[in-house]
Amino acid sequence: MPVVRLQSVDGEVFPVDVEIARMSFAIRNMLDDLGVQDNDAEEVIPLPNVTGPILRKVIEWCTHHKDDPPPPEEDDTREKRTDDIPAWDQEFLRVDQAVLFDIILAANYLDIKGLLDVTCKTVANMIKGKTPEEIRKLFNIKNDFTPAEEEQIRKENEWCEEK
Amino acid sequence: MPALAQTSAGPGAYVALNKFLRIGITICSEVPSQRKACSAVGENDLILLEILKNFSAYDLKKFRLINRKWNALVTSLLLRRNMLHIQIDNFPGQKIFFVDNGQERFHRAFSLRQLAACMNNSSRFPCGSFTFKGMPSLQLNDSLQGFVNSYGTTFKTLRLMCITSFQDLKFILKKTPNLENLTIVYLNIQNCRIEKPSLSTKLKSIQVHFVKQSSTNNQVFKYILQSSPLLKKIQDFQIEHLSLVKEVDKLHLIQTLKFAPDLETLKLYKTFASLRINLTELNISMITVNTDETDTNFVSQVGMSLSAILNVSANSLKKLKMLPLSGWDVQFPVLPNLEHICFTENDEYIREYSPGMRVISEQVFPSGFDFPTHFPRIASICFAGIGDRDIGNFFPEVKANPIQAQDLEILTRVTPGEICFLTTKLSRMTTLELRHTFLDTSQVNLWSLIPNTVSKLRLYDSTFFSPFPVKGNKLGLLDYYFTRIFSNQLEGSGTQARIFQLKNTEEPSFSDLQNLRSLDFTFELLESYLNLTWFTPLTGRYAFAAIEKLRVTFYYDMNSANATYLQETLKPMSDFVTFSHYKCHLSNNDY
Repeated sequence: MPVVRLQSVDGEVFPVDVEIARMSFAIRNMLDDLGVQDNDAEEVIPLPNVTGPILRKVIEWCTHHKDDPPPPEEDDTREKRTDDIPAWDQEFLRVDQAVLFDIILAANYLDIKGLLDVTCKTVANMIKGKTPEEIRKLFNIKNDFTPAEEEQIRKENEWCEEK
Repeated sequence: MPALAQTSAGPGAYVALNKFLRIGITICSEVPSQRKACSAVGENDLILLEILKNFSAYDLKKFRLINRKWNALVTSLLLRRNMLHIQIDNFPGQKIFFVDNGQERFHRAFSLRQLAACMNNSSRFPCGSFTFKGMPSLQLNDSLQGFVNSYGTTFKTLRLMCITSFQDLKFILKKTPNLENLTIVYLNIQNCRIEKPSLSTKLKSIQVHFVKQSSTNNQVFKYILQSSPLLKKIQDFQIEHLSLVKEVDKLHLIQTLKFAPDLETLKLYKTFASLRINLTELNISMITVNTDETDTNFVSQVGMSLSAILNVSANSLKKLKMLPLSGWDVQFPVLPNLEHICFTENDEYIREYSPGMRVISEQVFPSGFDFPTHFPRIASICFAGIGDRDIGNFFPEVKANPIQAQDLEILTRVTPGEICFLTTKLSRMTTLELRHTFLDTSQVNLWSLIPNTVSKLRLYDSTFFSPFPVKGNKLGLLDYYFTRIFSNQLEGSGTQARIFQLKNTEEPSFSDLQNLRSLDFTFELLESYLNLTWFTPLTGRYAFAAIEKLRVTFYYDMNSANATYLQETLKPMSDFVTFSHYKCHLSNNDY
């Protein structure tokens, strides 16, 4: 199996099967654009936004899911399910909150739809049932509403029923 | 800085952003871990949107209060997904109020003026979907006319329960230039002159449930079609409009058909079949029979028309709602892409004027029908009504192949034997919903009937028929049912109740469902909100917590006048369950 070498920001190099590396659309485009052939094993692809430990996690996830069918078309009109995270993924994502968020950033940067999807679902499950104040704390967000603006949103919410 | 540009584009923009990503490889040198990763995620619109897509409208409404940025993102999502709704009812004094599923639990009344004021002060109002209920004419209602005049541009979806004036309709279409979906439940416009269309709406979907048949109403329907050059689908198509839809060259937009033949319309269904229109949804809703001597061919004619329609749409049909069809000479083709089938009430839907000759057969499908062969990709099966029919008649001649469906919904009264029969037939079932089944808790042990493949269970208060609580009983109505722990095995009461004497019991209990990962329990009956305790923490401790990885959600109508009482009785369960709002589903049955 042909291999590419992925280099994290902290200089760690990971030899990865091309087919697994191509699960990342960002890497796939890079390989295509740079004309990297399958047998260019010495070619190093720098990934300056991903650290070694996170890249290792990402590669582990991609390796486990390498035979998955392509994700189905999204129905943008419906709320997604969050109770369908496979057991392996649940276990895989049992990590520190900071690591989880770093994996999300890496999945987004590397454009790995399946990983982004499952990590976002995990964060969604963490948020469910939390108050706005608790969510502000989680994401380190400042409430920038004036009291009048907040009151207006409350009124709007009161008028609108969920479908 | 984060790797990606801050953008409000959806995930479809990933590919377009790849170019940027590639550039980013050379220009971005900052390590994400130098910042708090969670802040970086929170600041990235694209990621935030991915996270937000996992939430219901109820949660999203709450998220609007986090900060301005979240408000902007969430409001866009709510509007794009059309998730919120306002129902306006016409009452003396021009009050409006919301109605939940036709049950008047929600008694807070507001004036239209208050709504207008709220919309006026809004920087971006989160709702573009409205229903006008119970108002025969806008002409009689100045304030509603004024409301449409002022805020019609924000309407994306409009449901009119009744329209009786052409002037009203014209006014609405003119004042709602951004309207994309229009539903008219009852169209009954009296004789009037219908002028030539001069409007060009942005309507993409039109649905008219009932049309009072007259040339005027046909003209009105034609007027709407001709005013909608961007129309993409005609739903709930009524056969009486066949010629006029053909006239305006929009036959190809018909996606769902209501099959309800009588002596007058049967010929039109035959013509429809010959036009070879590919339907995605077929609703066999009512067959009106007059079994007089003049109609001896009617039954076979109905069968031939329906067979032809099914054959034409065999590859495109995804949803089928049907009555028992045996006895109607229907040749049932293989429907390779059918995903959902719903069996409706039968005898009520088939009118027989002369009961002398019974045409309603006991069998559901024609002879030779094999469920897994005919519906190889069926994903969900719903029993909305089975009447007196034997449940076995729904699955005749099932051969070695299993039925693929993973979701089973039972929304009608059934016997334990019937549940057992269904769960055996659907050996791959993972999701089970039981609603309006009213199972007698003293007679039926539901837990022995649920196969261990089920990971998602949806129950309702209407799933069970429970006797009224005995005064002084320490248990909630369903505590024993879920735990199989008797009252006399307990000491203490309420949240303090503890088992002091264990009895060995062979009886299956809820905790035997060890593969269950999600239980949704919905309180939908009015009685549930009044003076009843359904569960105590005993169920939480000895049933819910006894299944590892189980997530339990209690849904109730948080807007109900009596929500506070229910909330109080359920409060002690908060260690074991999550509470959520019971969604108001606007169905075709709410008029």
